[in-house]
Amino acid sequence: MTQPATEAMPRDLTVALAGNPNSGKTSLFNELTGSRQHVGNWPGVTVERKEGYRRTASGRARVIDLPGTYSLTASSPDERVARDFIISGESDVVIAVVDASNLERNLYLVVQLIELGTPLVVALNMSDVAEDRGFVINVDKLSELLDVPVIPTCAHVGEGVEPLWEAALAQAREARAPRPIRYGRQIDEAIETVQASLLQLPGAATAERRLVWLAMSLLVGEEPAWPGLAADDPALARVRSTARAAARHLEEVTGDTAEAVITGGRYGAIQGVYREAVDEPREAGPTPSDRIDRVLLHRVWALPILLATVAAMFELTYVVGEYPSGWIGEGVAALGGCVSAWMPDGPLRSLLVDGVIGGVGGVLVFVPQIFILFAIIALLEDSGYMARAAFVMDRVMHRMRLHGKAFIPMVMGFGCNVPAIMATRTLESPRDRLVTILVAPLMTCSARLPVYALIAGALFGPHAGLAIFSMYVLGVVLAALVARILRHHVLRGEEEPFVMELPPYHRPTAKGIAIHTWERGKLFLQKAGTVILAGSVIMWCLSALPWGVEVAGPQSYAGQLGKALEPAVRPLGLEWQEAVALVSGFVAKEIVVSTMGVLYGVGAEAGDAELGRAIASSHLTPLSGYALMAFVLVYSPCIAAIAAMRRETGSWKWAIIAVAYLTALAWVVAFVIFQGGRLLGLG
Amino acid sequence: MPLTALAPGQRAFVTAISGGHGMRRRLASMGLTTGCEVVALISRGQGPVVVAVRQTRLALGRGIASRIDVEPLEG
Repeated sequence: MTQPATEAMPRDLTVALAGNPNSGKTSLFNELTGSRQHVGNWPGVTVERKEGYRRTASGRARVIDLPGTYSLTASSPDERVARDFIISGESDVVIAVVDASNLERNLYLVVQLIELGTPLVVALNMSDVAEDRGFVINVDKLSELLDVPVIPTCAHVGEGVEPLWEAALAQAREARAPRPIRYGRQIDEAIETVQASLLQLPGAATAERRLVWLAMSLLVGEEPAWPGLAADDPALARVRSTARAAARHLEEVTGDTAEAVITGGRYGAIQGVYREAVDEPREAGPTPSDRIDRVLLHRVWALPILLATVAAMFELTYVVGEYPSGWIGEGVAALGGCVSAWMPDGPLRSLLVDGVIGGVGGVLVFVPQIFILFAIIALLEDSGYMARAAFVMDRVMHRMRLHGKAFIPMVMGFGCNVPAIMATRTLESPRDRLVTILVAPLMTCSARLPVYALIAGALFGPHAGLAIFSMYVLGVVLAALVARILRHHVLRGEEEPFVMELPPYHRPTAKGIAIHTWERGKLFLQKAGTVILAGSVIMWCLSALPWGVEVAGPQSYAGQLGKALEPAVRPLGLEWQEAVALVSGFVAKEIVVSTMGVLYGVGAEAGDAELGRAIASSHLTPLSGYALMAFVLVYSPCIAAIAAMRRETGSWKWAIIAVAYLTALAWVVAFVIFQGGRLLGLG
Repeated sequence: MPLTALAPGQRAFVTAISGGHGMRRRLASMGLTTGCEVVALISRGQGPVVVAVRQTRLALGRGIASRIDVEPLEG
């Protein structure tokens, strides 16, 4: 079928990708759109919305990656978003991505997509894996039985993507809905009864495609909205009572709930298709993944393997990351030196060298570490190990009154709290999610490391490493305690049952890892370019103004602020300089380092060693230095993390509570450390 | 008997799932329905269990697993 070019589409076609988690949907999306992606949020909910474009003969088409879901029953925000998008009619065709080696379960979503009456194409993904495992799938038969084009693909190597795309575009142009599925006489009769009643409603002709889905929703007791009719319209009430009667009848003849009957009907229809189109491997013995799991989920070895993995992750991050970090550090120092040499001495030079270059440069040094850490996390996620980690940690997390899945955001928190807070989206229960968000900032993020490194390096000599490590431990212990308390007293309620798919292991692709790493790492770069830059400049101004005072002296605005706050930090063994540094760390904790540099009169070109010497000869003792480190660990998260909390919890309330409780907790912890240490004669 | 009582490697039919509406719906969407066959892969005295159901590996917390009734298959 060739169309003359003059009949080009008046608007961009929209193609939506739907599929189960772990069906390879994201890989396919990456293959379809390449780097032309845009990540945002669906309106009103914190569900990620990914959008991209791909060329067509007559222009381009928009590709929307719907959230990965197992069904479209709207029992979670993800499902609701996916379902509402398809109902909205914004997409011209839906590509259902299914895992060929797990076809039966994956078809459950396909069946629901057929019920929705949308033009559909099935991407039979990972068909190479299925073949290796001995599945023989008759693609033509499958396509005929479902009345949907089925295209085998191997998205991770880019195979079958072009034919899939062609089939999707053809289907979009034809705009043909697949033939409704037969679920067996009793269910079909019930659907027909409700459909007949729906057809009496005004505008039923335009909704014809969705009548099956509307009828089935009504049968299981859901109340789908009807365009143009108020929820209490008498016409709708008639339809509802018809649906209730049909559901009751169905329950009487089957002796089960309507919902269970319909679920059974769907799986029954799927089994019919599956038996005709698929030859299963004769010996359904353990799969390669099962064999790997025997080791990685071993009764005794699972936890040690997990801990070793996490330890190796940090080792790799900091050891390998040190080299590029060093180069960036030298580059920053060189740039500072250059600007110092070329510009006349004065406030502008100081602003550039100490404020901008010192402030932002001090943060950029950590970019390699952050990217390495996120790359390793992406590797663990894409390979399938992260799901096992959640499984192994479930018992431990359970003691903290947290869900096993909360382990993933907690680990990410060691990189940066912002993606950690966003990663809590995988938790189904809003309560679990909130508790995880509230304790995630207690994970020592990489921004806090330079602060620890500076103070511990200056005051603890050969034991600096141990002092830094103890901060990581302290953070985890506090998170466990706070989570328990919150779950016991503030956010009580039933614990969300642990139900999780353990996807088959597979080799991650470089492209997939690169995209994941970039998506998360980008947040950090944005932070460096915006809030950290602004914060550094503001801190410099506060320390240089009013004109004529000694820079960063007690008369400067920063000094006055510090003096005003000094009574609050004095019980912690700290003085006004630290008070100012802590205030500046509110912007981003890394800034504590550059602020201390400014306050101790050590510029960016001098480097950390000189600042360390300045600190060593200051009023700070190992005890008060340790209290300061603990304070930096616990107190208010940075602005970017606070903004993420607000976004993810949907209100300022919890973000403000987090800031308040963490700052109070920080003070208490630092107080106990300093005063307790003094009592023990350590001061 | 509850799913948690299965020994590793044992096959069984799911006879009943007692749990909330939402839970049953979620399990169904992941492939676990009454009448389907499961194989216990990991089942210990404590901690979550892992079952194979329709080519999927599902990890189930003890709480939910103990509310799934199964009928073991001979052999």
